[in-house]
Amino acid sequence: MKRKHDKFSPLTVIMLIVLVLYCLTLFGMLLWAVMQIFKDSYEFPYNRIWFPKLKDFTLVNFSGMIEYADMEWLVTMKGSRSVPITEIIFNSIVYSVGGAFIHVLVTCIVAYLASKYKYWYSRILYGTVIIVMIIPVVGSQASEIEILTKLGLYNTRYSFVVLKAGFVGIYFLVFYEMFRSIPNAYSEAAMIDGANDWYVMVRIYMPLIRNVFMTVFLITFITFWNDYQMPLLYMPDYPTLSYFLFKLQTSSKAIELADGRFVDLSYPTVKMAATVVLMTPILIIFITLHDKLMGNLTIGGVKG
Amino acid sequence: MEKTKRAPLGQNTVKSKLFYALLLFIPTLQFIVFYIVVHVNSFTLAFKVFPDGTARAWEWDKAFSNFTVWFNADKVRFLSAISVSLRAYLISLIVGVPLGLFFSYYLFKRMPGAKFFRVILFMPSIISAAVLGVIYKMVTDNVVRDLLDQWFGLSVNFWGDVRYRFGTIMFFSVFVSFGTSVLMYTNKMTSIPPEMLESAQLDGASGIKEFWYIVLPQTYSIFTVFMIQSIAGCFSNQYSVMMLLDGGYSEPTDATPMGYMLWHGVEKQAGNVALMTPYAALGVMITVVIVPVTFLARYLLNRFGWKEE
Repeated sequence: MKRKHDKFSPLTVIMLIVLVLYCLTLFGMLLWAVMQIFKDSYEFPYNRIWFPKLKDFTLVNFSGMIEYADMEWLVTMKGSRSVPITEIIFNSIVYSVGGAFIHVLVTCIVAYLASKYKYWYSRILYGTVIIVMIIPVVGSQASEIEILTKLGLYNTRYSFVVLKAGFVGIYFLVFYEMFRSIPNAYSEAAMIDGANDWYVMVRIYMPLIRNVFMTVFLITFITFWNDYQMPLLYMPDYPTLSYFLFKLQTSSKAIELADGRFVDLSYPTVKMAATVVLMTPILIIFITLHDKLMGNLTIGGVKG
Repeated sequence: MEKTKRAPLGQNTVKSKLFYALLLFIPTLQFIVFYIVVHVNSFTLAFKVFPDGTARAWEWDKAFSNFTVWFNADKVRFLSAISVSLRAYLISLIVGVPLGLFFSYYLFKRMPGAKFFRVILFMPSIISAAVLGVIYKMVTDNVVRDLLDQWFGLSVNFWGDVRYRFGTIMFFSVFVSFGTSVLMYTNKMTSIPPEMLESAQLDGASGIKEFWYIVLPQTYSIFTVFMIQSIAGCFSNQYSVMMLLDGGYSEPTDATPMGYMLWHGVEKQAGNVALMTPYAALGVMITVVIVPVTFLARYLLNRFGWKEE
């Protein structure tokens, strides 16, 4: 039966007011960002807040963004170079999809082995994850860069494959608990029928947790898609969209486009176009799957 | 009837052990290299110097200059960063945590719009900090500033004026911080036995009393998790400063937290490890302080806090 709303109390009335203000602020900011992308650099100084007039709507800011990417904006160890927008998008997809898949797959497999194989090493794995999560270690980036350099992985496009292939983190515990809650009778019956370890893992247990796997994958994908700090630090010559936005927002150049129009990067218009490009895939995923993403979250991270 | 003997997974067969070992080989190696070796190396890096300024040759730092630099030449940066981190933590604690709890209570009570607000509060968690940070910076610079000038004749430079900069950063930090915590708190609140709440209502408990005497104690375990997490992250949290302050070109002492100073200190050396050693030393010092503090906080929260019943 559907539960009715509780009665208002002074506390909930105050909260309602604060929440409404919160929503207005958030939507106000996002709406403002969308309004700016349809203005050109000539109009912005005279109309810094509202939509442009219908006749003045323009998509020049997207052209400006692409043009900026084609300029030598990226300062690398070998000098400045341009990075076309297609390459930036490619880097973003490889980094976020590939990184998320590798990280979640490794975490899931290690959690499966730790929870289902009662070896001494499984107990060590579980204890290690707990200890690492409890002890906060700060400032190891310098060392990471040194190790990556020695391994020949620093500043390479695919170094994230190695960096993300770790299993320590909250999602290990999520998968561990999930596998532990599935009765061993499944594997025991399959073993009696002659199944081997690989078959049991891939054909019996993995399908049972596919919803959790997808949820964790999506959350991790979103995190990596939005991440600009790790690419900036460990693979600075292979910018992702988030990294590109970060660099773009520090620029104040005026760019002349092929058709003679100008865009001025000191105004927010081009920067807002880049934020919309970066935000759109994530918003689509969120709007489509927010029930799955949020509904499955609990203290362990995700529930089945 | 004779019971069929079942073979538990990994029942000491060679094939099972081989399967287990093969699948764990790479993750174990990754952990050894990128956790154990990295952290041991980070510790030793703090005691090294590279005389020629490149990572080719090094010697032990007998004068502990990587550590002492933070108490001499970089003393102001160091102390300011500690101060900013602690103030930021206190603001999150005093403003962010209670607001998160109150929001969760509102959602838990299923007041009007609860479902909608739940989604909206979560949104900043999935939108990139880069995106929201840039939009927030532009809005404060172009909209709020103009409106304050037009309506009240106030000239407020949010990012250039020392009086406003830290507050403007903290507003953003608190604003985007509710997503996961509100979800966790709300999920936990839904596990409170309804009869407990009903009996409180029958006894005429007000909303605030119900919140204080029933809801808060019953969500204490989650509260503890977030508190410990926030203490542990006190000196590593960057509060999106990189996006908000000119993309890292400036590092004003009034608004640079320790987490950002550490990260940016490494990032701006463009891969030259020889110049990163003071930051490795700083990391070691902070870790030495924050680990016992985190454990002490955990002990105190468990010892003196509410007990869930």
